[in-house]
Amino acid sequence: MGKIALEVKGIVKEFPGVRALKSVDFDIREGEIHALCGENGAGKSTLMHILAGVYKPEAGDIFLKGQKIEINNQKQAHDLGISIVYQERSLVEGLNVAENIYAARQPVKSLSVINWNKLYADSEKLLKSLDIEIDPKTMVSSLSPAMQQMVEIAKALSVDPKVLILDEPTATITEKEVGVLFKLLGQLKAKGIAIIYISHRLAEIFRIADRVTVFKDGEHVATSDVIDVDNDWLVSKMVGRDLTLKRLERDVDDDIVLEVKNFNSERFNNVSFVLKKGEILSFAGLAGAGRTEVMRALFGADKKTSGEVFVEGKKVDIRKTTDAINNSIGYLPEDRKAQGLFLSMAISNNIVSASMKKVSGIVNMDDKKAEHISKEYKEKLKIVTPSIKQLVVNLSGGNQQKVVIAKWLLVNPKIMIVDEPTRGVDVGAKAEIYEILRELTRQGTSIIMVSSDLPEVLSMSDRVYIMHNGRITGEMDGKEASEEYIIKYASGIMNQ
Amino acid sequence: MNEIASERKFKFVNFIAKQRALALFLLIVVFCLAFSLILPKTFGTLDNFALILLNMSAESMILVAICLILISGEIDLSLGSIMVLGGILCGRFMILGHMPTVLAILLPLLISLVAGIINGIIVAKLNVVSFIATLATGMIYLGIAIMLAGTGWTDFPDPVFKALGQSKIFGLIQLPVVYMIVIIALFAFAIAKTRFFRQYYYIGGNTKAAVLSGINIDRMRVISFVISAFLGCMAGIVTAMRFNSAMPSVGAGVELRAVTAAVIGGVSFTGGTGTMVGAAMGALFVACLNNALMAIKLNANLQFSVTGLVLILAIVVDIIVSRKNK
Repeated sequence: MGKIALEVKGIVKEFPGVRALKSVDFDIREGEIHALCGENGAGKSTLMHILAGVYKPEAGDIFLKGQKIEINNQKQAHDLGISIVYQERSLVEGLNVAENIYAARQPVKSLSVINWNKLYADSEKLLKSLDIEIDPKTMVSSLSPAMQQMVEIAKALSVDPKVLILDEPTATITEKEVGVLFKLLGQLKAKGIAIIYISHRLAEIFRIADRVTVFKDGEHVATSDVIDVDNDWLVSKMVGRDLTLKRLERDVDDDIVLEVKNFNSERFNNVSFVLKKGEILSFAGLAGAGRTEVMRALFGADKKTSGEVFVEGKKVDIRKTTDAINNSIGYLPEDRKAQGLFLSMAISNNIVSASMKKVSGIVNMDDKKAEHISKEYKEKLKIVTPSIKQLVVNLSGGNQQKVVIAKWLLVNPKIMIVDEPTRGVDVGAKAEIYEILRELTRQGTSIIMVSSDLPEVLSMSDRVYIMHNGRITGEMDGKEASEEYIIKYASGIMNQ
Repeated sequence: MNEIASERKFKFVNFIAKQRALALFLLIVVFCLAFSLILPKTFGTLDNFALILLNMSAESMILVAICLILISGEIDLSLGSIMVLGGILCGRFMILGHMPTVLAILLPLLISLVAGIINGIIVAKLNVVSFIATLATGMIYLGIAIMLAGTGWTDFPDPVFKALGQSKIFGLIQLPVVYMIVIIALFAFAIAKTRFFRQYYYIGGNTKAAVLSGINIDRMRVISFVISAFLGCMAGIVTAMRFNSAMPSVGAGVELRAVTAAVIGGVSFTGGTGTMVGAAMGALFVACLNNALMAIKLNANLQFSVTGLVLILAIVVDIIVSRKNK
């Protein structure tokens, strides 16, 4: 067992109106992967920001290798050997990989003139040592999200850290790439680097972590060796109740609501599928398989080169998003912050944003009506907020997602496309979102769910299509689907 | 066969995207050759090319400032006012204050540093959007300049001052052109090659990430506005030297003309991308175009419309290129 690399004791952090951390203790050993989990708002990110020197704690001590230290800014954290991979992208798209890795720390000759040869050589050496096959001169804008994530990690490692903190590193990458990432983390661990691993995906914790700590509402709840605990223990510590994903077996009508025939574009080929009334139909596959692209084309957000759409047997021509909405198709986008929400507007304004006609007179908007409707949905979906006037930016991920769902519930579409509905959402809110989706289908709405979360696909779907490389490679009944099957079809090992 | 063609097309698109400066340079060469053949007596003379460069010389300093500020994701609308203030102060100090030329040049430059610090503090420390902040300070600086100017200053007493603006080297190139080349070269080098100035790409490209990378963005922003004001003041003094007069009307619209040239040259209005050389090529192209329009005796007012058209075309090309690259 390694020596303790970093330890925090009695850390308190307050924000106006909230006590984000209430005297927490936490430690991490050399050569250890220590998972930190908890629902959104548990205080994980706050602790991270304290270790990064972004926030200053009101009370408490930080010890690095037994020595008491103070971290006043990011640079100091770097100098002390604490490096962080943030959840948000920290790359500049207009610069190449090498300049991103050594952001503002490029090797220089005299007078701040950059030594490009050394910059590229250093970057290449670093990338090679991490088994990342990217040319350091590649523009970041031309890399896939997963490769960008790898560059982020390379950037964090370029300061030669003793403590590496990863915040949701797998949120935007695919199963296959998760494997590559974990291999890399294994190597770093072997080198004696202490790794703090923050993730919502509990399965990952069992795959790679040595110890796990759970935070809840700013307090330390439990720490244990991973080998001694199981999924249920973890979930119960996080939410204080049992929340296992259970399949709900049920029968679906054979009425076909939507039929897509021979969809083609640059990103996908010959995609055809049907959706039955009241069904939850999942699209599984790796990121980049073309699932989101198919849905965007179906919704009229992107162009397709050919293909036909039938809604309830009638051929419809969808060229723009209003065509889709008029044909009673709703779309909950993958990236809710960028595409689904008006972050700086109130909850109520967001909820009515796709149904302006419902809350307007001939010229004026009926604010009272909008508020009334919003309140109703706030109750229905259990959106946790003191007021519907609250700005959406101040809500947690799960509650933001509920606002987007409320927006579409109000439109009341017959067909609802949900793209990664629970990404970045905590366990408790996840279960609530599942219940909302199921309730929707009971009311007759049919749902197409794009999801990379396999347990989610397996427990929610009545039927599953699997895409690989722009084509549908498999279709199976939700009852018969298994992780192995889906992964085989998704990775192109098996073809129908 | 088809594939080869599309590959070639792709490369051409890449070329325009990545080598904006070079693509523009080639365009300028072709343009000038063509017009020189059509109008050998008016457009295609050495004197005329020297004039094109001279006409863009003072404003090119504004261009350098704007280029730096745009890369950092900001805008400086007070540049024109600072340019006016520079010239007016210079004239007042020399003519009313009877100061020696050196002092009458240095003092306005010092004052411009103060103006830049004020801009920088309002933007960086008070977090006012730079568009509004510099719009406001620009009015203040212009007001002060007009108040101090009266009708303006002509005929500076020191012949050296005039000589600094009007002497020619090789009997052809007037000194402001030399200043322009030196300043553009200096900043082109600094922005492309030094770690200090490359920090502006991180700030403009992803401000949050820049903070987390340990960049002191407040300090960097203040510095960029100070440099910007200093260059604006220089533009004013050089203009005063060249015309041997300082008028409150010279600065009208210069910063937006500079933005035009920079964007044509591939500098992004939202920050994080672009090069100094590209911006300079953009300015040179606009200068050549306007000169050619004069040479073919087109209604002078149409120059604006044509420049606007070129700006739109440049942006359309950008959009097509980024679509093709997806």
